[in-house]
Amino acid sequence: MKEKLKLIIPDNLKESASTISSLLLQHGYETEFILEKEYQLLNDKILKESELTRRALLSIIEDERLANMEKKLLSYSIENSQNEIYIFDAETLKFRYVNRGARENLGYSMEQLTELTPLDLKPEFTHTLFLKLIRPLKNKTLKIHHFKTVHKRADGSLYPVEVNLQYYEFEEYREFLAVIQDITERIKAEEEIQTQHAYLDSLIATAPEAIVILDNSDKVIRINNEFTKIFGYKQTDAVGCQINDLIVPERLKNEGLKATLDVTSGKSISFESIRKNKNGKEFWVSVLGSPIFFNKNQIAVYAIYRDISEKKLAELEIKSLNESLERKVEERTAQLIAANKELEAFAYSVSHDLRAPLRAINGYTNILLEDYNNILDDEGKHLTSVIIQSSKKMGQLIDDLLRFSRFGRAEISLQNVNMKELVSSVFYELTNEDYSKNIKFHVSKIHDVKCDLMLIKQVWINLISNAIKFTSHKTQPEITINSTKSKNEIIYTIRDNGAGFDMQYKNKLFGVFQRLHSNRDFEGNGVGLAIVNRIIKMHNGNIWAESELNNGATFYFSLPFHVDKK
Amino acid sequence: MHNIEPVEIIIVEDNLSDAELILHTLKKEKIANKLLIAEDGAEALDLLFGKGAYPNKINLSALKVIFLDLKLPKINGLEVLKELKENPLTKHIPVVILTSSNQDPDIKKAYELGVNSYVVKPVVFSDFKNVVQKMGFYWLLVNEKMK
Repeated sequence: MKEKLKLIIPDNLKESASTISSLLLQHGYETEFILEKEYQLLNDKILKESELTRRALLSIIEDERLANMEKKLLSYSIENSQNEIYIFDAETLKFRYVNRGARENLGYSMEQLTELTPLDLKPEFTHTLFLKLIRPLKNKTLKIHHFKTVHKRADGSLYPVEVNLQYYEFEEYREFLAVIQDITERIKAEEEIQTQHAYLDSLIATAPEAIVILDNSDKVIRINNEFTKIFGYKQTDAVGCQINDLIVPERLKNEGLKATLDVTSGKSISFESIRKNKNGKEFWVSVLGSPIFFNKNQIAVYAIYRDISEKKLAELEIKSLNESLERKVEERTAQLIAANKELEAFAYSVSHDLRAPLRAINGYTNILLEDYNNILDDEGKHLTSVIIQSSKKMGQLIDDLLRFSRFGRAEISLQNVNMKELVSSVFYELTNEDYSKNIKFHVSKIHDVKCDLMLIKQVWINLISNAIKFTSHKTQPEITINSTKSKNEIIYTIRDNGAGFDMQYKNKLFGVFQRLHSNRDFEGNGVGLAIVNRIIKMHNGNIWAESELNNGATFYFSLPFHVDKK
Repeated sequence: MHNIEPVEIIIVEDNLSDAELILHTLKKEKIANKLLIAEDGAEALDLLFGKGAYPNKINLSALKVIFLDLKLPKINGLEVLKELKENPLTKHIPVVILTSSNQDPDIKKAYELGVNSYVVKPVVFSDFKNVVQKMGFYWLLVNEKMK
């Protein structure tokens, strides 16, 4: 027999009462509900009902709560979805619901929207067009319609959208549901990618070098304008062809294969070689090849070619110029050697042939003066002695000239020279004559240098003897020798207080047989400084002088630390 | 004439003025009486070995010195020197090169060939005279020749 229960039920669960009573019936209870407000005296009795009954009751209450919650959550999710969600009536097309995201983006309130239809938002559609669009959904030949268009906001501004439109029937409702995405950002990103593409595209297309892009089996995917210009192939000719078949001359096949193999196996290459164009004409190119990676996978390779025929021609020209230059240098050197030999022969001839007649002139005149002295009058004696002096002088000139030419041909042999010792010994050798005993001779602590001892000794002999000669008229002759060291060289100076010279003739100082003083004042033949100049030049040094007439002279010469042999 | 007295000096000199100056100087020193002059290298060799224009061989053992110029027509001085020093008959005879050339290679070559002295003729006569006098004096009077 069934036990009868009296239950208090909250007013808001009234609707669930039948469900509860059927549940309890299954467990052997008959139920009588008492509304909450009728509940007064039965309090204690209910509390004593079985545990099971209580649990069932609680579970039902909980289910109900959850169902309510779910409904709320669903509407919350829809309302707050980042997608724009629209529901509009299938007949009137008027909006029944538009979620918050859509309302905010459009700038309309819900009240305003209930008076609007999708046509008010979609300026790209006419009424007819829109009806045509939704017809297949409505007659269920299409489940969902996916399309892109633009939405117009309340303020008139537009934004691009992607629409997913579907139709449903629920009880008495006939409605469309549109889930819409504002794709402004996506389009911006797409445009950016397209812009990048355009940049790259025009860069490749118009690059001044021939570019080819190959797939991993060396087939042409793309070529650029310059490639067409250089090799004569159009994009349509080239695509799908093996690059090696297109532009590598038959005899260089192996080189071409190795190059493509290297690049497709991930190496970068760079070399110069010969390639051919569509007509078989060959020319020099520089080749640059590299693989192209995407997400760490090699997806293609590219090669860049530059026509370097002109550069190669120039190189060949330079090479041949160099060769002819070298030949010329050799020829000139040979000529120079021959000229030097001739000069030597000339010097020999001069030394031998000119001396003999001079010796005869000098000898016979001497004999005349000695053996026929009593026949010659004073004038005759004077004339013969002039001949003797002149021929003697000419003999000296010839000797000096030969000496000068010998210095020009001398080989330099460098050694470390103690300059102060050298200068002092030269001065000592030169000052045996009485008049030079009272010369004040100063040598400071001058620098040493690597040079040819015999040649530089000759330099000091000539310079010091000049200084002695040109100070010979002074009551207190003075000669001072100094040196200064600079970055690359040492400069030696020799200063005297002698006759000096006029600076306007300084260019003539170092020429052969150039003299700035008469023989009556100072004897000489104009070879000494020419020899000095030649020796200093052989050491790659320089020589110059400063002076004032009657006020002494200073000669400077420089010797570099490292002398290149000439 | 020359053949009567044994020849003591032979001067090989193509320049007649030089030859005359040598002769003049030696004469002044009174040492020129037994002297012959050859004007080129070929003549010098003919003279010494009794060939060509000189069929009468001179007495080589009496010869005290040969003054030899280097620059000579036909056969030059160094060639003459070479032949003399290679020939056992003449290699003992003192040869003095008396030349205008002071070129290094000539001097070196001459000594290599066995010359006994090398003298450069000075241009100035006083020096020249001095050299010739000393040479004549030394080779004719001081130096002992091979016996």
